[in-house]
Parts: sequence; structure tokens; C-alpha cells
Amino acid sequence: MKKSVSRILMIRASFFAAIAAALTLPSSTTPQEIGYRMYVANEYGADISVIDTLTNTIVETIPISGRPGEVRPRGMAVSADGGTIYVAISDFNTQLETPEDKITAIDVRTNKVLSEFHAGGNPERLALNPEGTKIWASLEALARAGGYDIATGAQFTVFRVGVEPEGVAVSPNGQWVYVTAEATHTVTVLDTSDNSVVKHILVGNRPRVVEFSIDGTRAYVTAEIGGTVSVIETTNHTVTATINLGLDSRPVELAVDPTGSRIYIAGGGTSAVYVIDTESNEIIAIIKERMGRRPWGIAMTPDGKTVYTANGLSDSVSVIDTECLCVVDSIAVGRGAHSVQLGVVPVD
Amino acid sequence: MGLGGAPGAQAQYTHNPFFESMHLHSQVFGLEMIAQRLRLVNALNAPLDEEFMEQVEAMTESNFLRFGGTLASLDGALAETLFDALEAVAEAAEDGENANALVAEAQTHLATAYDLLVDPAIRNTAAFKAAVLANLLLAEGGVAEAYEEAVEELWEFPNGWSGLIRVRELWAEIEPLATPQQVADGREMIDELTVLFPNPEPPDPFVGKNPEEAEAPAQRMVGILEEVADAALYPGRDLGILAGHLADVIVPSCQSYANGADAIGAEGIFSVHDQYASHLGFLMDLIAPEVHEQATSHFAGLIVVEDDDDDDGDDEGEPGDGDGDGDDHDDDVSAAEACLGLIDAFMEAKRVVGG
Repeated sequence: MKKSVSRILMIRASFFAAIAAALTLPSSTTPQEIGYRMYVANEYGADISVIDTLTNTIVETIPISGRPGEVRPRGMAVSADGGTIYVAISDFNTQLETPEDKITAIDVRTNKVLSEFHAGGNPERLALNPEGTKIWASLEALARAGGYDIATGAQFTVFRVGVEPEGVAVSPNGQWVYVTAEATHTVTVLDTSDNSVVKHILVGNRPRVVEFSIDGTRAYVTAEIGGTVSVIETTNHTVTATINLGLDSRPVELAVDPTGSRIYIAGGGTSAVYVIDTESNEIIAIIKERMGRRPWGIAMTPDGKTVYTANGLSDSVSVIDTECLCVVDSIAVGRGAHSVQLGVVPVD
Repeated sequence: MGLGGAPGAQAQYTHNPFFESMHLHSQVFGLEMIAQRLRLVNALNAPLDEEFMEQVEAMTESNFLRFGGTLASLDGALAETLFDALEAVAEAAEDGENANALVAEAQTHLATAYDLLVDPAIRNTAAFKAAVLANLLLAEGGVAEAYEEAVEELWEFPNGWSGLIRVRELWAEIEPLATPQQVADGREMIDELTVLFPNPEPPDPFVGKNPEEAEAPAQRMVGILEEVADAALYPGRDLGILAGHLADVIVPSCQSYANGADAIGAEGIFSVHDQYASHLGFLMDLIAPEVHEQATSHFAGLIVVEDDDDDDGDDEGEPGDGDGDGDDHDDDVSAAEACLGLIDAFMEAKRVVGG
């Protein structure tokens, strides 16, 4: 069901309110009680590094499996209040469905696993609906995407998408789910009102990740081999612009600035972050100096001041100041840093 | 349906070897796959595993069919001598005999065929070598696929080990053109792949491995090659252009079929099948299944190719016997008609993707 604009803003407001509350606590509180935590999924290390964004230091490492190299964490999503991180866990074997295929919920306050449920077919990336009651997963091995009830873990729908699905996003009004497929070069559009597939959109070559604009009128899709970002008009699910980053850029994840005026794109091929002005769709900066190797994951703080990248070949996270558009810090994390996701430490 | 892909993306690079010489690179892939398997017959201890023998037998089947017709038209005696030499290697291997001398003989004839089929002026270019490398790394039967397929078919693994030998050779020839950073990156990727393929024998059991682990360095290597050789190595970046190009590429094949030169006609079909399967097949199956069905049906009537999802275990055979991928095809349709049907399918695919 379509949600009104006011409801969209209310849901987003709750997230930002949590941030605001965290920032107004007295100085006597410890860094672990306030602020943001950046979670880093380390694909080959089979663990999650937890970074305190006030100090840019690792405060904890959460093991996902005792079998690194066999079981891996990849995509993550966060609840509306920022207090729960969901992680897609899968084994490396796309031919078999194993018990390891699951979605795990981590409590940001304690960094403990709250719950987990089976999600067969090698879940790769996740997205929550605005209410935080449903979670959607791309199922890499099945050319499908699935919707799950957060409370029960029950799969309430599964639908065909392109081959090798990866990116998944839910529109801010909750009506649309977009799923990318690497081998089919498509985005599949699902209408959540009746869980029906409405369209397959042809985008750039080897699409990876999709994100909606803040107002939901557009969606952005990176194409790794195409070296492009497709801009999709969500009223009719049509590509209206293609941003060319260069064939060597190999873009993967992207992050939308809270004001909606910029998007930041991790370029794995050039080890750079591309900054795009969303009004002109032009590249306004390429951040390369001091960047880690092969940034894939990218996320930013809700105040828009800091961007974090997960760098898979240097096992690191780069910290970018969005004022200078420069890397200001580098944090060593686990093996095969894949993606990053911001969580909010609840304020007592 | 929205059309994606940056307009003129291919124009970023000066050369476009898979567009400029699609048929040639398919022929070369056949030559390289035979060379890859001859190396393995020498490297692996007799008796060879029965599953691996299927790889060896492919030398005189789909591998040879990629270039055999053209070779025979240029030098019939050489084509026959090479074919016989390859058969002799396969027979010795199957009998558990030492085939080293036979392999050496076959390698000599193969080298002569390579020299005859590929103009040295083209062969010595960085763009040509980069395209060969891209296929060795990413194509079916290549290094990345060998590792991924080993999970289910263990004896695909040796292909990766053998292919990597050739990758190192060709990279060494291109390396002088690379910047220091590209050299370092390229060598790092090869080192990563070498760790995955330490020996020709597959690790048994192949458990606890990430089947996609070879793909990342292979993909990255191809990205490096594009920059070094100034050559576009992903022909699927603009699917509309590709679909139209496939229709153009097989026109000579259709003429060959009409003239009764089926072996030469089949070569062109192999070349477009590679590109269709890699870049268009999944998409057509999703958004225009009738086009995909038309294409696969006509392919089945013209050539036999292995299908990853084919559990029938069919052996590769002669062109046109249509038993390879299990798709239905109309036996009343001649090869020339099937070829023309493919052109129609490609043009429809072009229309569907907005090309």
C-alpha cells in the first residue's frame, strides 16, 4: 500500500531522532554508549568488525562462523531505529543449499546475535521495508528474491528475478522492491501491494547494487562492467539517464547523501570513490588518495559528514570527510571487507 | 524497457577485438583449448581419470570444429594430419599408455595450424593477445570456470592449471606495455590464481573451497588487460550493438551452409553461440523467452555445445546432430534455414533490448 509522504518522513525522522539523541548526551558517557557504530562484513574472515565512529577504532569483532572460507557474511541492512543490524550469511557453494544460508540479526547495543532464520539460496544482500517488519533478500543461487517476516522468519513470498541477483532495495514509501541481476543486466521491480513482478528493466552491464533517492522518485543502479550508474525514474520504472564513470571504474555499492544532493559510489576497479551531483548527474569529485584497495562497500553517517568504504583487497575501511572529499583515516579490519552498515547505539 | 549501458562505451578503448574478429577468436579459442589439453595429457599420470578423458576427446570434437573447416580449406593435408595426431593422443591416453611422443607430434602440427590460421600481423598485437587472455581467463573451459565447475565436476580443475600456464606466457609478452602499477597488479592476480591451482591434479575432495574464488582475480586481470592493451574485452557492454553484430557475423555462415560447406558454416555458429550464451541468453530467457527458445532451437540444429545445466551427459558430436543441449529443434529445417532463423532471432533480440 502506498504510504503518504508524511509517513515516510515520520519513519525517517525516528532514525534521525535516534542519532540526534545520541549526540546530545553528556560528555561523561563512554564512546560505546553513544554515537554510531559502523559494521563491516568481512567475507573471508567470516566475522563482523564493529567500529566506533567517534574514535574510528574497532571495539569488537563478532564471529559469524567457525569456518572462515566456507561460510561468509556479505550484505547488511539496518532497522529503522538503527538498533539492529541484519546480515546475509551464506556458504560459498552456490550449487548446494546448506543450513548456513540465513539472515542473522545483531543487536547494536550488545553486539550479540538476537535471532536468525534460514534463507536458502545464498542470500547476498538485504533491504528492510520502512516499518521494519519485512526483510527482502537477493538469493544468488536461485535467480530469485525472497521476502521474509522479521518477527517469525517465515518466507511470505519468493519471485523470479534475473540470473545472479545481488542488489536489493525497498522504495522509501515501501511500495517497490528493486532487485538487480548481474548476469541478466536487469533490475526486477516488485509491487509489494500484491507481491507481483511488474517489470524487468535493462540497465548497465553487470549491475551490482541499487539504492533509492531520499524522496523515492529515483533509483540508482551501479553496473560493474559497464562502468556506469543507471538513473531510474520510479514513477514508470524507466532509465532516464546513465552516468558514465569510465570502463575501468568497476562500481559496486553506492550511498545516498541524507540531503539527496549527492551520491557516493565505490569504484572497485580504480580504488576510488566517485562523488555525483544528483541534480546534474555529473561527477564532481573522484577520491583516490589514501583510498584502500578495491572499495566495494560504502555507507555514510546520517549527518552526511563521513563516508566509510569497505576495501576487500586491503582488508581495511577508509574514512572520508565529505567536506574536503578526502580520506582522513584508514582502519584495519578483517579479511575480505565486503560491505559496511551503520548502526545506532541506543541511548538509555 | 529502459536501455542501459553508456552510449559509446566501447569507444573508450581503441581496439575491439571481439567485434573486429569474432570468428577468428573463436577459432583461436579452439586451438588454445586443444593446446591446453595436450599439456594436461603430458602433465597427468596415466591412466587418466575417465571424467578427464571427456576433456581429451573434446580435442577432436567441439575444439577442432571451431577451426577445422577453414583449416581444411587452406591445407587439407594438415587438417587431416592434425586430426589424426589428436586422435592418436586420445587413444593412447584412454589405453593408459605414455603419450608424450604423440603429444609432441600433435603440438607441432597444432603450431603449424595456428601459424596458418592467424595472420602474424594480428597475432603479434597486444589487442589480440589480450582477447586470447580474456577467453583463457573467463570463458567456458577457462581458468575461472575450471575452479567453479570443480565443485560438481572435479576434473574440470586441471583446465585451470593448464590455462594458467598459457596466461603467464601471454602476460609476459604484454607486460612490457604496462605501467609499473599494472605490472604489479597483473602479477598479483596471477599469483592469486597460482595459489588456487598449485598442481594439475584436482584436490579431492573439493570441499571447503570457494568456487568463485578464481573469478575475482580473473575479472580483475581482464580489467587490467583492457587498460594495458587499450582494447575492449567485454563485448556485452552494449547488448543492442552486440545482438546486431551477431546477425552480421553469421551471414557468411548461412551462405556456407547454402553452398554445402557445413564445416565452415559451423565455425561461425560456434563464435556467435559463445557471445549469445555469455551475454544475451539469460536476458532473453527472462524478458523474451520466445526469442530465446527460437535461438536455442536453431543452435541445437547446427552445433553441439556443452550446457552447464545439461544433466543428460551427452557427448559432443558432429555439427548438426542436435543432441547436445536437449532443446527441441525441427528436423525438417535445413542448416541454411536454421542459420537464417538465428539471424531473425538476433535481430529480434536487438529490437527487444532497444538497439
